[in-house]
This record gives sequence, structure tokens and C-alpha cells, in this order.
Amino acid sequence: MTSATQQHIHDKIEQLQQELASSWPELLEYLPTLPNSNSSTEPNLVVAGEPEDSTITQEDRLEVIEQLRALSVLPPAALEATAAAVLARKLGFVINTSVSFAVDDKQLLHSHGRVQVQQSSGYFNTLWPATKESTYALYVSPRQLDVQSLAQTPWFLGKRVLAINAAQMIGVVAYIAGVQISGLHRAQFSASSQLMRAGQFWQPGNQGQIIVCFLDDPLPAGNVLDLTQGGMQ
Amino acid sequence: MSLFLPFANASMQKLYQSVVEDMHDQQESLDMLLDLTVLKTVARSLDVGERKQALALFRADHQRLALWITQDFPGVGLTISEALTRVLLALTVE
Repeated sequence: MTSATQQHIHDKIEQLQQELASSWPELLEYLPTLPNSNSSTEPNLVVAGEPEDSTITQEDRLEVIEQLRALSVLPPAALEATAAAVLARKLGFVINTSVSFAVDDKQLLHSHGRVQVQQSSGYFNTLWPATKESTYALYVSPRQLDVQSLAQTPWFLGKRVLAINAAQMIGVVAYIAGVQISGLHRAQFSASSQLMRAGQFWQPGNQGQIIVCFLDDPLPAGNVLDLTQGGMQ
Repeated sequence: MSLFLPFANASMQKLYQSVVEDMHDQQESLDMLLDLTVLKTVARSLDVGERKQALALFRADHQRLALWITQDFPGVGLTISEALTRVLLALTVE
């Protein structure tokens, strides 16, 4: 067997571990470790989106930002599970907090797309009392709702997210307040005017392009993360 | 005993043996790759409640999980076998 084949096996193992970390996180602590790994005595497991090392070079950071920029200009869609897990892990390094593109295996219809300002309150918005935090609201496509969602509180409601403006290299902590109610949806997301401003989604270079991922940590809504520095502005 | 073995039919076992013979001391890595392939397919095929049961069985005994899958979810068992075959074939042609 060639060393290339051995490397291929190890790469595939890492890829599968990352996919399982995203799709079946409860399994993580029971997964076997990579045999013959001399680099560490710790289990060779990677949680999607969770930074495993605080050191990241500027080159790594720029690579992730470039990937985000490339993603943000693609046609609106949801990232494939493996690609989402890999990107979430890298992004977790960059912003030094854990992110993911799925919650309990559920994904939004769009991980990236266009955002426009929400003209009025969307469905479900009244479930939250108005606070300073609640003004950083994001609304998703009504196509996200299914019959089950209508019968109970939709799974995505109230979830804390990072609304990323890749062109300006910033992300704003927001929460999903409901679904769009306008009959004309030229964008996949709507946002409160405060979120539009904080995220600079009105800047000419951005054209409303947005990437949305879930935040595991309860960062306060309205906080702006500088992707070039990895911290809050 | 590895998780993937109960899903290996005769032709797959031949494939596995041919890969192992070429692997020298890397058999552990191959077994792990195949086990993870099984788990990935299980994760994709079962719903949340079923995965909880699968995890409990996996923690108790890998073979019990394999037996449960083949008895209660024969379609998933077939999908696992196909996925394992693809992995082994890919290694054979490298």
C-alpha cells in the first residue's frame, strides 16, 4: 500500500469524524480514535465549529474569509452537510466561538442568500417582548414552515445566529424572530433595520449577501464580530 | 469485533482481505474507516429517536447495534453494505 493510500484513509477518517460530529454529536465521545497517531495522546475528535486550538495564522484567517466571500456570492442554497461541518469548524477557529449550520440535524433552507429589510413584524414576532436585543432580528423564508411547524413553535424560532457580511468581513449576533410576511420575496432573509445597519448589509460592496450560521454560545444580540481579528468590535 | 463485519457479504470479505493483505500494519485504520462508514450511514438513515436507541446499543455492544439494524432496518443494512463496498473498491483501485 502506498503512503498516498494510507494518507487517503486517514483523510477519509477525519472527514467522517467531522461529518458525524455535525450529524450525530452524541456519538462523539464513543467514537474510536485514529490508530497510530503519534501527534497527541488525546482522542482525535473534532466537534464541528468548535475551536480546538486558539492559535490561528492570519493566512488561515484570510483563507476562511475568502471561502465565506465565495460562498456568499453563490446562488441561495443550503450547504451540503459535510461542507457545512468543515466550514463551521474553520469559522469557529476564526471567531473563537462554536458555530454550526444545523441544530439537531435541522438546517435552514438557506445557509446563504440575500437579505432585505423587514418592513413590518413577521409571523411569531409577538412571542418576544421588545428588548434592545430583540431589535437585532432576522426573518427566514416562509417556505421554512411546514404543517408541523404551524402546529407548534418552529424549531428555528429564537435561535441565536451569526449574520455574516463576508464582503465587510463582519458578523452580527442576531436571533431568528420569525418568517417573512411580505408577498414578494426577492430575498431569502429579512432583517430589522438595526441588524441591517450593524451588519452593513446596505453597503454598496455587499448587495445584501448574507451567510447565516447558528451560534452555540449565548453571545448578546447586536454584538459585532470582526472576522479579521476574531473578536468583538 | 468490528462494527462493519456483520454487514460484509462474501464478495465484500474477499475485497477486504485483498486490501488488508496490501496494508501491512494499517489494518486498524481500515477497520476504523469502515466502522465510521457504517455510523455515517446510520446517522443519515435513522431519525432522532432511532439514533438514540442506536447509540445505546453501540455503547453496550457493537454487535447488538449491527443486529438491530439488520433485523429492524434491512434497507439501511443494504445501504451500509453498498457504502462499505464502495469504500473498499476505491481502495482496491488506488
